[in-house]
Amino acid sequence: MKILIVEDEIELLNTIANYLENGDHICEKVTTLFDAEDKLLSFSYDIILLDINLPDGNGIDFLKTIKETSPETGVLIVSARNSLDDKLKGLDLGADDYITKPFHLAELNSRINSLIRRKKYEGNNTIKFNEIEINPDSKTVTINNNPISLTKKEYNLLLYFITNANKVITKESIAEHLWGDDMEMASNFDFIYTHMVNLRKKIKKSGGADYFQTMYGLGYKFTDS
Amino acid sequence: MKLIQKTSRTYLLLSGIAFLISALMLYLVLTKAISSWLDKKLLYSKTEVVGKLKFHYPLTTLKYEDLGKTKDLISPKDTLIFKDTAVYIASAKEFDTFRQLTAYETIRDRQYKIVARNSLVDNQDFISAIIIYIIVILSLLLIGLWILNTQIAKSIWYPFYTNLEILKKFSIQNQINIELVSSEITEFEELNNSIKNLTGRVQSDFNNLKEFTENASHEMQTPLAIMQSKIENLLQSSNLDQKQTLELHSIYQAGNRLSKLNKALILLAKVENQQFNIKEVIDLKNLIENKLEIYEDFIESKNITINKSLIKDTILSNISLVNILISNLLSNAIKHNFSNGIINITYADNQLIFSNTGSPLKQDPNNLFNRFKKESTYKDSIGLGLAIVKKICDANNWEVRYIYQNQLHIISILF
Repeated sequence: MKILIVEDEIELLNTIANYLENGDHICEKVTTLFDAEDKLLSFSYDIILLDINLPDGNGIDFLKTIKETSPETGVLIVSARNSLDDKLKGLDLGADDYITKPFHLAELNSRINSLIRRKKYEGNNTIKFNEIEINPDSKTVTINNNPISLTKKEYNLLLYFITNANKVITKESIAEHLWGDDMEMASNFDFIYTHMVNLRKKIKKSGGADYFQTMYGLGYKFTDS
Repeated sequence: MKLIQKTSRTYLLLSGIAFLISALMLYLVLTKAISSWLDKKLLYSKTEVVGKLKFHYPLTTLKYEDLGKTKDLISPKDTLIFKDTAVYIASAKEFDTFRQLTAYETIRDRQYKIVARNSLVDNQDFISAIIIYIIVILSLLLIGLWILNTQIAKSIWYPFYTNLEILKKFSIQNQINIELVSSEITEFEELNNSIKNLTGRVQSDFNNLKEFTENASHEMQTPLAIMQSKIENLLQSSNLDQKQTLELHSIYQAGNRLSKLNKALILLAKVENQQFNIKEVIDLKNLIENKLEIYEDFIESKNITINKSLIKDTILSNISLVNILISNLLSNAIKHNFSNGIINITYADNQLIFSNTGSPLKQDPNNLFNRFKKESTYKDSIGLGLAIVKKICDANNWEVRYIYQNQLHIISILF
């Protein structure tokens, strides 16, 4: 998928692009609104990652331009301003999602993929990882075409891992993904461990391979290599 | 008490006292004047009687008493005694008051006692008439002045009260310059100017603060974002040994903690600045039940029993704030609870009560809602949870209270 990243912090821009490019996305990087408008005139993108605070203007204004010139492009607003005004304004004007700095790269990737699924396939595609198949529309999981029953948290966990396959996922990022703003509670991470154990058991029982690797003290990695 | 009432009351009281004193003085002066006039009249009558007696004039209409020869004098010569006396009047069958002159006079060696009287009734009626007349005039004057005073005060104070109402409705967030009713009174006009200056300054300070909050949030969160994403990227590389990985992870955790703290402080500032002003109807029962589901893992891990009694009722507030409020109350009740403890949640009669088992506070309960007053040694607690609860309640004018009773920590919020 083609992604345009509009972010004035070059370090952050490169890191995001680096992470996303490893996940089969093609990224174009710009640091100003001017360059972004220029790119938008010449190319089409599936997703635009838009920082609101830019040196040459407010990202919210650019959002209007995007919606006029290429309404099919999904827009994910990235901002340090988690003030409610901007959030509402952004979503009103047609932004598809909103993420606040600082964020976990895995979380960003997961949001982008979910956005692509919604935009590109209107939710009708399935996500496959070898024998595991997830249907995000019906929130069901099959292993070798046999449905398995997962709890809401196990399902979210599996989807998160598959979207970020072959990456080290920290426990902090998992906690934030599962519990959102309430993740302060999850700081001893035993809860993640419990959910992980159950998920792995269920997959194994249905004949799936165990793709989870424990990264000591750090988190997990979902990989078949 | 209103200023008008206060001044009018003092004014009336003073007038009343002055009025009473002057009425009393008038009475005394009039009585004095009339009796001296009466005394003169009585003396005149006496002189007339004496004159008539001297020349043997017939005294047909006057009564007199011949007291005998001079040698039997019972009183010194030419004694005059004035006094007020009551005399029975047979025709009216009542006593009337009289001014009486008793004079002992020696005329051609005979002593006479002459008594002259003049009724005081008419004079008293006269005095009463004058006093009543004066009372009526003064009362009319007072009432007239009172009405005039109130009316003038009303028109003078009108701009003041109108402006007071405007000020009460003034909200710093509306970003609208305050429009005050102008007045002819210099003092009020000065007050208006001062208020305009003050609100202008407050508004610009508020805007600066808001800007600072947003800038601080932006300036701090962007470096944090870079830090975090760089470490996450580093952690992906396979050529790190375990020690390096763990050290990187420590930095990563510290960064996470810093960003949580920053987020909480920004939230506090925003609540203080009343920046959450979009209100909607919130189903509290539903919201609490959803939160309990999210917190299920933590509740189960401590094997905490939840007793809830929630009525289906709504409140009007900001959904983000109420969400944070419930999260903080619930996570507080879980964190500071014993294993196998209890949490009771009650919502009825506009009151939400969270009570939980837990060891008694080591610190002053009055500090509980202050920032960074950490009770537990819970390592990842940033100590802002209850400060945020308090701020959210303040922003919504809700009353929040804490008590420790029957081994239960009870936090109640009155909406």
